[in-house]
Amino acid sequence: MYELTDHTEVINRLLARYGVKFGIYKNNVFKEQLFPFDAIPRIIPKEEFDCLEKGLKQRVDALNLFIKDIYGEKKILKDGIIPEDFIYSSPGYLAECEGIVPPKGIYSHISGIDLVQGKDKTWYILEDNLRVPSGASYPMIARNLCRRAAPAIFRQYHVEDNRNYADILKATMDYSNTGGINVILTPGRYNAAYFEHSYMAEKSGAVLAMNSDLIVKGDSLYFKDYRGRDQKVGAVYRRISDDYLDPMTFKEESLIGVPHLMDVYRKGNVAIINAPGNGVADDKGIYYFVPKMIQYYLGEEPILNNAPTYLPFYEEDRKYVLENLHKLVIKDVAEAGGYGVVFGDRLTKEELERYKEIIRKESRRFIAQEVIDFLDIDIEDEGKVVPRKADLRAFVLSGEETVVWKSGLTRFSRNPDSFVVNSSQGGGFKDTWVLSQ
Amino acid sequence: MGIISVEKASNLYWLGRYSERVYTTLRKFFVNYDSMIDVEEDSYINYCKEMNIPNIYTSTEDFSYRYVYDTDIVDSVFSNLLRAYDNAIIMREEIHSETLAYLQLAIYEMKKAKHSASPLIDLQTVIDYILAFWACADDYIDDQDSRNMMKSGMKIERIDLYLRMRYHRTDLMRELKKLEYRLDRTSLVHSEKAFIKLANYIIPEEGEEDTEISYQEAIEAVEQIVKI
Repeated sequence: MYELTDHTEVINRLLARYGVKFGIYKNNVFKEQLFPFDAIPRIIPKEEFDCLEKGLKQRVDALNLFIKDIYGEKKILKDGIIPEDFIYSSPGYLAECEGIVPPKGIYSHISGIDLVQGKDKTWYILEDNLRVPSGASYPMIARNLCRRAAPAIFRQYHVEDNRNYADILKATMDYSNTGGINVILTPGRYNAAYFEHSYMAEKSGAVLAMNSDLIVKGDSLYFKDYRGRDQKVGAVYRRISDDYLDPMTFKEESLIGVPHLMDVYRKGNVAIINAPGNGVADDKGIYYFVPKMIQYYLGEEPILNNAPTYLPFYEEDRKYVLENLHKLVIKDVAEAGGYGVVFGDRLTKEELERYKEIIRKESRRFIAQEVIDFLDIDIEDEGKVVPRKADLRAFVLSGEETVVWKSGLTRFSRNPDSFVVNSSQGGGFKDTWVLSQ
Repeated sequence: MGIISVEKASNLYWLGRYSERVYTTLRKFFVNYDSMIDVEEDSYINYCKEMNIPNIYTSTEDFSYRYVYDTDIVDSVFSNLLRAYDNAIIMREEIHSETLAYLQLAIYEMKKAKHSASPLIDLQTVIDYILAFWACADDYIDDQDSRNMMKSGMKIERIDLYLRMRYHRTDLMRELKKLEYRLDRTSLVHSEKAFIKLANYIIPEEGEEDTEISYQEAIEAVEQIVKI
């Protein structure tokens, strides 16, 4: 598959042709950037993916049960598996969602699970994204272009086709749909992931809508059609965060939300994909408890490992973290997109002391993890093949069944000294090949 | 798809207008550019007057560069191309990625022409991409009404520009027919009264074929046809 590097330039040119970009705000100015594509794919052998698939389904099923429990009976709290304080102090917990059971009982329809592979080939879960995970569109379009550029390679390798993502997405939306059209709700053109919103709408047949296109009338949500034939909406794949979803329920200053959407949702007349309030389960602090959730709800041992994680909230962990901060990675639970991640070995003595002080004062705000010795993967850099750090975002879709998309977004760091792979911080992406035999 | 919001109807209409504006002004620019070489070096002054755009240019060279490429000037060709793109990018699911790609390519080509030693050669490619964009839109937009919304915008813009450029009555009559065809087939709210008024300015009474069109009044009429 290294032959694909002969086509790197032409594939990137085609990606530019189709406007495959992401938006970024720098000093309050919006800029669109091309997402650099590296043609050498990440290859996951069939047996390895089969194991990943089982583990990811297990994890997402447990997370869905957890969210249902938290906004319902709260058995996991009553049984003392997770301290209550961890739930109610989580910024992702929304009291407004208490008692709501979404259509078909699914909370996380589209889960983006970030993993890394250690040098011993063990996969570790780095984080769960259960609110609005993005990124599936990039490998989907890249595969199409790679096949166009180098068809012979795809004859030689037996690669699972990943261009069915939009079909799986449609089936997921259709399953929870309460009767009506599917819409993708976007905050608009200047959102970082706007390419994905519009591309997914095109490929899944959903209607791309902004809040001004939607209106609540009676107990239902409608798309305002220009010709005066308003269309009932049965499922909203929202690409805006919970806080801004409905100004009547959440932030009243929101200009991108749909007033009274939550009333319709509460009555079970529309599916919101993903459900509001999911943030309680993908909080970096809650991550620590996911293996316990799997044991509690499914009575199974977790198939996939968390990265070794410490919660300074617990005294024992705090002691360990303070003593070993210089070799740990510290993550601020409120941050995302690679921000708020600090490697202890890169801090000066003074900075280490300052962090220790903050951790002592705000122990709930941080988690600490052992630095995983990532398995480097090859990328092409100025004509040479060089090793770089990379992660994998796997997409798990929950409809009638829980399905793991046979691909994923592989993001890599272009900087040889960096572990941070996020596109907003200069990273690139690769296609992810899952072999079919 | 066939489900169009008020905002998207407006985007389609303006997509038609801006793409047409880029196409027609570039074609006109080609003629002017040629004339400015050695025939009428300051013909841009008259052009600005006709087009009702501020003459902020200091020389033929200044006009030739900034009128085409300067995105800080709202009337520049590049600014109009970016506005066409702004309207198109939010219509991806309606017009399809293949169609949108041609506007994206036109933007890349425009950037290339800006630094080219032979800009007209690269600008010709911009024109080619606009034509390809329209052809692709015709092929990919499934909903007939959506296509007609965009094409109504194109035809209105073309008549507006042709009037400003003082085109002959014959050309205007031909474009008027095309506009009528589109308006008859779109749900776009439009004023029949304004259309008739425009037609009265353009189509001559018997025996008055050689009289001058009231261009200014006709421009006002064309702008009244669709309010979106």
